[in-house]
Amino acid sequence: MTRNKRTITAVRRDLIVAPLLVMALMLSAVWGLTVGASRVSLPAVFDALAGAEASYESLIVTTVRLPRIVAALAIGSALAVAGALMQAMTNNPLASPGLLGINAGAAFSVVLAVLYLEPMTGSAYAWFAFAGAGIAAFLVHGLGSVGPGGATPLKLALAGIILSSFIASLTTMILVTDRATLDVVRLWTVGSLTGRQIETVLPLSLHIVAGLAATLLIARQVTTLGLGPDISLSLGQNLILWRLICGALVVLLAGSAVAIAGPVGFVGLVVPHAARIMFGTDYRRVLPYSALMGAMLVLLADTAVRGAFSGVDLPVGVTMALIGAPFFVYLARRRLAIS
Amino acid sequence: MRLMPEVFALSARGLSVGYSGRRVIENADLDIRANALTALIGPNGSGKSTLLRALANLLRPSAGTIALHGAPIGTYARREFAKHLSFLPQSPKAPDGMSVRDLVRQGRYPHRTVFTRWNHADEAACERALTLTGLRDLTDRMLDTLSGGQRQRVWIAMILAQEAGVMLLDEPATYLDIAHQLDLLSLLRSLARNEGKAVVAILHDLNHALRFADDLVVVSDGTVELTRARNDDAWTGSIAKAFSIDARIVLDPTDGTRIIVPTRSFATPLMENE
Repeated sequence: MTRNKRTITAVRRDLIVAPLLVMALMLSAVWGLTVGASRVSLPAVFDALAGAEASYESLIVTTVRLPRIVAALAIGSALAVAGALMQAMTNNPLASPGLLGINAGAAFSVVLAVLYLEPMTGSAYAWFAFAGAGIAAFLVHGLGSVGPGGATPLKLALAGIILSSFIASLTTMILVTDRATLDVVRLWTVGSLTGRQIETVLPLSLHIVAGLAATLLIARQVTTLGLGPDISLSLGQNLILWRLICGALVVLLAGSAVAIAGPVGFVGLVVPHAARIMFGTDYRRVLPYSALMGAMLVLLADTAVRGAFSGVDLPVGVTMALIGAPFFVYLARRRLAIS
Repeated sequence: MRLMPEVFALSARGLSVGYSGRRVIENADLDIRANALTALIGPNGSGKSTLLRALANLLRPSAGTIALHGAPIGTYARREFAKHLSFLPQSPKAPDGMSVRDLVRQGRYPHRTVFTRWNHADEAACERALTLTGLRDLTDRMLDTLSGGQRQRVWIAMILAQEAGVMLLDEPATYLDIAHQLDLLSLLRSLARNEGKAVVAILHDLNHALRFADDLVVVSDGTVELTRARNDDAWTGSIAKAFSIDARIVLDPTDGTRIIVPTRSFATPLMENE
């Protein structure tokens, strides 16, 4: 084997791995439709999807499980891609919508809207999520840029952690003092896919699809951004413009995900790392694979709990924390060992 | 190029640069010529990197002007500037899992717009950069599998693919072992002499600077001094003074290169008795 074959094998690998992942994703989605409090047989699932008459089973599949599966796929890919974008634009391997306060900001803003405004449709809350995510991003960046040296990865991470815990306590403060709001959003604030309505999930998922498409279009720019500010500037990249574009996409993706399922952590941190370990640093690969793997992770995490323990419904945010926290420790230790 | 010898590749007049109020470089004049390797030397904290970053348009000077090929650098659009001047920061972080080819291709950024596709000129520039840096056999290797010396060559190949006439490098030889240092310096010199580039590099080893560089720029205490003729006695005194040392100069018997032999430091009075 000469070394020249390596890029050819990489492309060939994409041609095999990507379709396999898509297929696995579809199979998992179908499996997800069958498991839950009551088991629905495969033929019944297909009947329900084909629009058969309104039996009890088809009702469950189309009104309870289908929105849940769509939501899992949408938020998984959105959070993973948002994380990949953030890691590239901040040159910070620990950046993610969860750690840098984007999710917390979006969640807080939605809780405020639930508390003080008239009830509205689920997708209208997305605008509050965007606003909250955007404000949190600006605050974290501002806080992280104070002092000499500008926004270093470490300062940014610290600012993110400080701001997220601050905002999370504000959210908790509101909720413990307001019983009614707590009842509405309790499950949502830990990140949950339970009881989503298709009328809410669908428009938000379309936002996410648009965000993902736009992200893929600018993948080449993201790779250059990932080389760090000195190099990208000396290569002639308009750093401010591309950071703003990436930031807007992060707000769109993470904000939509929070509006659907609340703040789900760790997906945005774990998945881009796994994608880079498996497929390299070229964001033309990292971004699409992050989308696929993120969708897969959230779907499996949500479905596996329902499948394994019948009747138990753990919020997906909790499941992700159980999976993600050990990985985060591993990652932090590895980074420390390197530097 | 020969028609207008008075137009330097890069020149600075009355240049002052600093960070948040503290001036690091004061009122510096400097001319960098093409076809030459210029070594920037000076003690730690003297402002070498600051000067280089200002020349690379990464740091806005507080006073003075910088001209690239005779035109003030402010008149260049960002992308246009990058076509004429490339910069390699100190120990750039190689992203894991990126191949040599992928990184070198990044050098073509200023030559492409958001919508242009990869073309023959891009491919040719990358091939040429890989050939000049002797990396043709390593093209498909992942960066994290290379040695420090090889990786530094890849970064240089990346800025070569940029096809800029002026190349600025911040401590390209630091952290390399001696063989790779010599290797790198020969490469930089040949890029200057055979490719007509104006190559400016911050170097730590004085003797490497004396052996390989055509021009020396001594930076110390915020002042910048350019020494053109390196076989001139004037610079020995200025170098010794800049580094706060007493030094003896001996000549290499085989080629007459001057070798600086530091004998005593007068930077810290505590050491006086030794």
